[in-house]
Amino acid sequence: MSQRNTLIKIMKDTVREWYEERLEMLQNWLQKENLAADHLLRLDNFDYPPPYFALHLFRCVGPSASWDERATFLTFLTSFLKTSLFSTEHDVHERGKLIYQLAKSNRVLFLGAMNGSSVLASKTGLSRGFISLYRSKQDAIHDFQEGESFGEEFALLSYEEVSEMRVKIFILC
Amino acid sequence: MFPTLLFQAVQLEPRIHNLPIKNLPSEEMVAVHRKGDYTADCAAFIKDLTNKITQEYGVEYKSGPQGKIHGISTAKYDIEESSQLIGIKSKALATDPVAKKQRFSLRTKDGRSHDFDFVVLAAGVNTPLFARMLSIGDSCPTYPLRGYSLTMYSCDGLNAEEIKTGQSTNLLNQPIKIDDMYCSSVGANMARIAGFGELVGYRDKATNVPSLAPKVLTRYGKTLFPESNIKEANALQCFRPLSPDDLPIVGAVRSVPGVFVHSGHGTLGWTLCLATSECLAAALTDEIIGIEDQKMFHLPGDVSVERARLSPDRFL
Repeated sequence: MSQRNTLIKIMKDTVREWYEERLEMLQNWLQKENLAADHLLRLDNFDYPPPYFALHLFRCVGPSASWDERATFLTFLTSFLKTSLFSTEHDVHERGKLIYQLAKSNRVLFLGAMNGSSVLASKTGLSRGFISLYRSKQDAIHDFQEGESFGEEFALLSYEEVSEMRVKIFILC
Repeated sequence: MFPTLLFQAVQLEPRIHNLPIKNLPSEEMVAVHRKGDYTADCAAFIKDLTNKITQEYGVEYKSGPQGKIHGISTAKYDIEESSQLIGIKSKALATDPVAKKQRFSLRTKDGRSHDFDFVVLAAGVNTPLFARMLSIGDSCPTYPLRGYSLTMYSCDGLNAEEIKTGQSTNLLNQPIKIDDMYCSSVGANMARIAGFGELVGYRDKATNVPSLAPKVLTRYGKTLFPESNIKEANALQCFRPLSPDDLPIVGAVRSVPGVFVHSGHGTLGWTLCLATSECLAAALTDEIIGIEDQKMFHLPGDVSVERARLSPDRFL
């Protein structure tokens, strides 16, 4: 996450959230006044991914925050900017690799702690496998290649193939 | 690659088809199937783990005013003396328990004071505030990242008789991630959708900061589970300790011997916490028994991690 493009995404998402909030207020007001207000919000349209980040600077360093809270924000921000601005592709790759390694060990420890207990598996809703959906082929391929390079068991498929497989599911059932 | 996936087709999640993806150019929408990943409800797991360590290892949990920490400080001689002391003192601890000296004083809300030899700062989003009390704020530069989760209940697929007799159903075959939101089954008749990363300050003062997240989660939840009774008002806030470089902060703080940090997991707490706990246990054990200059953490799963990569000192 600590990369230059994350900084841009945080800014973009923050502006978009601010804009959508105002637009929602306007829409609510228009509806109250019986004026047409359909489809104003991009947020209600699945074709656009919703903003993920939001930054409320005033809340982080404004009068509502204590001195200690402000100091922790500034400490975090300094390190975050430094890491995001000066990280090379190699640094980002190495950090990703480390996270995958820790996650791998975590899985081993987790399964060891479960110790084959079906009661605990049922209590925790244990399930295997995970589907990540992407809006762009490039992002999916990047994720797939990264996972494979770290020794993970990933497979890539198009939405068309998912749809075809659903037909198979019905036939199999 | 594909034949394996086709073979596993029955495991794929049909609810994906509820998403109005058909409006997008289909050749652009791509899925990655992470076949080796596991998902489970961390709250249920932790509850079970807590019971186990309380009963089997005698670990004591304090709650209420007894457990609420008001302040923490170090005894002067520990700070004034240099880090050369670590080895000497640790070796003394290993061989002579009488040589143990109290180094940290912890005050709880009920007005009592407790002394400890070692302190592990693992207070989630509040960890940097405790770190500042010990003048090691720079070694723990985490900050709260607010997210939201929404739990949905549904008896979809069960008939009236089955509901009456208390039968349950699994709402999702496969957990799904879409637009940085994660949706997974968290028990019988229950699924949870969660996501978002908002820097809005600390929990006590930030819960009233408005967000679009509950609205978005409700919309996605309703799309995936049209039969469930989802309400925007049921969205819960959660605060995660975000580290500036995405990596958790685990290990000893060299400037104040005896202090350890275990924080900064961000949104990957459940994904990494068992492994990083092993790292913490190794670092703590090494200091207690006097092993110095260890370079690596050796973890289950044939994984070795450089200690310096996770160390709190990496930010200095």
